[in-house]
Amino acid sequence: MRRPPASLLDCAICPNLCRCDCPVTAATAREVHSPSQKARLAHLLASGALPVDADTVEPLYACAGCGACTELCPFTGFELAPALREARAGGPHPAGVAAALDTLEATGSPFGLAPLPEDEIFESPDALYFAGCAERAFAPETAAAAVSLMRQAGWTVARVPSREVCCGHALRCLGSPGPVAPGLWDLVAVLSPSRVVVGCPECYRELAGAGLEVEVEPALRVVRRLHREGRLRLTPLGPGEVTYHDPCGWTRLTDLGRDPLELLEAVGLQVRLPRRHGRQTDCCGAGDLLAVHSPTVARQVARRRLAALGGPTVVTSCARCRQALREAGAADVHDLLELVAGGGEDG
Amino acid sequence: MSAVYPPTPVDPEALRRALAEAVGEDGYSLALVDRVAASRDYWPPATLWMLEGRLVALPAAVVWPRTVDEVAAVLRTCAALGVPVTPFGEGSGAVGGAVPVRGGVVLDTKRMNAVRRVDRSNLLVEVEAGCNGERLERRLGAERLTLGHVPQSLRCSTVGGWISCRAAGQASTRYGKIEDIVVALEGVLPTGEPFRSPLAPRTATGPRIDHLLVGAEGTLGVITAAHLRVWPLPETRYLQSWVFDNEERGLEAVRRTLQAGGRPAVVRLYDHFESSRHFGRKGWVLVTVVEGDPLLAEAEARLLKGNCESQKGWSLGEGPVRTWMVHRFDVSLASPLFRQGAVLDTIEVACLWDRAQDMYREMVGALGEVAGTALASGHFSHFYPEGACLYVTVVGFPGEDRSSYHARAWEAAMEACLGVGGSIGHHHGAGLQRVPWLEREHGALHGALGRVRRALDPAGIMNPGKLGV
Repeated sequence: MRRPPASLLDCAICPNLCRCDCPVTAATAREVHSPSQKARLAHLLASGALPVDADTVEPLYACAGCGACTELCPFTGFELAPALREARAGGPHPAGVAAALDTLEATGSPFGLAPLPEDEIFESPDALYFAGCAERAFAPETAAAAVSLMRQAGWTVARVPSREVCCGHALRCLGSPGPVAPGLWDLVAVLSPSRVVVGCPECYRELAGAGLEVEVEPALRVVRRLHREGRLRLTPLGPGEVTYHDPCGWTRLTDLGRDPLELLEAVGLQVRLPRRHGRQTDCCGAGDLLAVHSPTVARQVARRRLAALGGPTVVTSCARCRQALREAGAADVHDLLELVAGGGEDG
Repeated sequence: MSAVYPPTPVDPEALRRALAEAVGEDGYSLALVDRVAASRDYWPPATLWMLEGRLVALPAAVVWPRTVDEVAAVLRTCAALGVPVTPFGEGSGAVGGAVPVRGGVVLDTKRMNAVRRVDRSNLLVEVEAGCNGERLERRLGAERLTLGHVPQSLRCSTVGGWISCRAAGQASTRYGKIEDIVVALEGVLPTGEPFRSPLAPRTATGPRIDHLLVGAEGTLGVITAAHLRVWPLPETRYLQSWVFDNEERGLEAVRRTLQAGGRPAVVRLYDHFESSRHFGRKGWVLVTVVEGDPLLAEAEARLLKGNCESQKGWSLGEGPVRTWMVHRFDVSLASPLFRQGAVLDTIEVACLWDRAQDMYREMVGALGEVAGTALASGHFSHFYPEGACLYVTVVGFPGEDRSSYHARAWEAAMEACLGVGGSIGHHHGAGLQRVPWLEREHGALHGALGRVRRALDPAGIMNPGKLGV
């Protein structure tokens, strides 16, 4: 394993000022899962005070990457989740992580793949849609909805082939960092799309920061803009009330502002927000592949969130959130773009 | 100086079987990572152990009971095996109270974290010991209520921890310390007998035996839940601050206000150095928050204002109070200092009004004279009609042996405090750090506490090494 960044030591010395908002700590109650304890563990492992093995590194993976701890962090600019990903690099890997890496190697995805319909590649599209591993595994229909909505607005949309499935985030979460969607650079160079559009918040963060020579945009923001510009008409779905679960990735890690809420309101739905929403949203437990390598912990986190959401109909805008809430027992949970596309018509 | 704490010999397999029977297979851990995490709290020497990569005071196991019955089963088991038990909340204690110095079992309370009932009629909350403070306050806030107990550790401490170290919130001048907020307790005695104390506003049926556990730091049993007093969220809040030429005038303004019956929530009087550092002001800055019912709060704010003006306080308005509110939970200064080879600690003591000025001068002076000290400063942080809490911060760059410097700083501070005639601890507890001075603090009563402990805990398992008994 690598020596953790120096800033992790600030966290290790801190009395855990953010622990009240850590969803993993709240779910397991294990002291070693609290944010500063994970930082202390990383320090003790790196300094040789503790043996480095699959058991001792396990708590470094007990993080949903939700960024809740950053909200209360007194250290400007410090983010624990990326520091932990860095500390995991090079292994060893706990059993669940090793299994996820095996699956990723075999299928190109830590979840295993449910391939999208045929790849569609052509030059100079308005948008090149990148569906990440979670979208392909759990929500191919969400990706299809995003593409459909853009096309209804008159855009030409090409899709990234299935082999380019990993944005790099999964590999870093699993302590085995690799290149960011290596074939995407060539595709962008060859196809010259006006933009790359992504549906997953973690893919968005990775690709937006990867230095592609083209703008990267969240699908939700694109669809909201097309609707605002009058290029996309949406058929009303209301009246009705839905509870919106803010994915951490679209609120804290990338701020989509009111775009999701405005889209729901645009189709006539009344949006009910749980007490913890926006930047204070609580995690569903599925981030940073927690649900893959530590499913029991992830389910505990998801159940707490589901209980706090209330309301019979839940809408969210992240494939992993939807899957996590479903697995936690949510009977009626929808993806926002899929819901909106269901009522969409050509504009 | 390196601390060495030999663990109590334990047969790991026998302990594993016994704990599995007491709390089930998912209720305990013998894993190294869990034992390391439970081996320390926020006591500066424990931070130094971590930085030096030393594993000190490792317990043999960690248990996470969910119920009173499971706690009772753990204590009976450990008493039978002669295994020490150290209760543990969220490890924010500053004096080593949760460090399992004799090894054994750390009893982590965090799976007992429910807010069982909010009683609006009687303004009470029944809450389990492992509930995080911020989470409790949010739950109450959703019902327009507050505990009024807001320690700097609110976000990283538990109800059980507060009660076990006689904690104080930043608004204790109005709402009281935790011992004033506890109405009734539920817990388990060291022999494994569960108890619930009477739920009544006051009693006259003999001494409150349950209150022996308030401040006992887990040496007399385990607190599993409490009924705590709550208040409606304040409708009105006055933020006022003044600066005084010297501490005498600032203290006098506060004394007059409290002795006239005023109860501001927050009252903090900072010395020259801290006033300059926090607020960019020369002199002694007084930061206050008055809150509550509009009529009462207005009267209290006027009373306070009049007393400050009569002592020639110069009004600074809301600014310094807002600055304080933004930084009220921030203890981030410690991290870079420790990284750079320093030691930082805070020491809180209590004294009567007529000793307050001497207490400040003697303690800050004594700490300043310890070789290696770079800074000693202080503020009065909590007030009562009878006196105040002095909160001193010390930073040293001692070179190689930081533990030794830390011990010398504490010795200087404690001797100075006892010399002036105060109590050596106001709200952080005694833990390991204050043990050498507890007998002088309590006199004959310290021996009495030892006899009480031996009567309640004949096997001597509960948090050994703490409170000096």
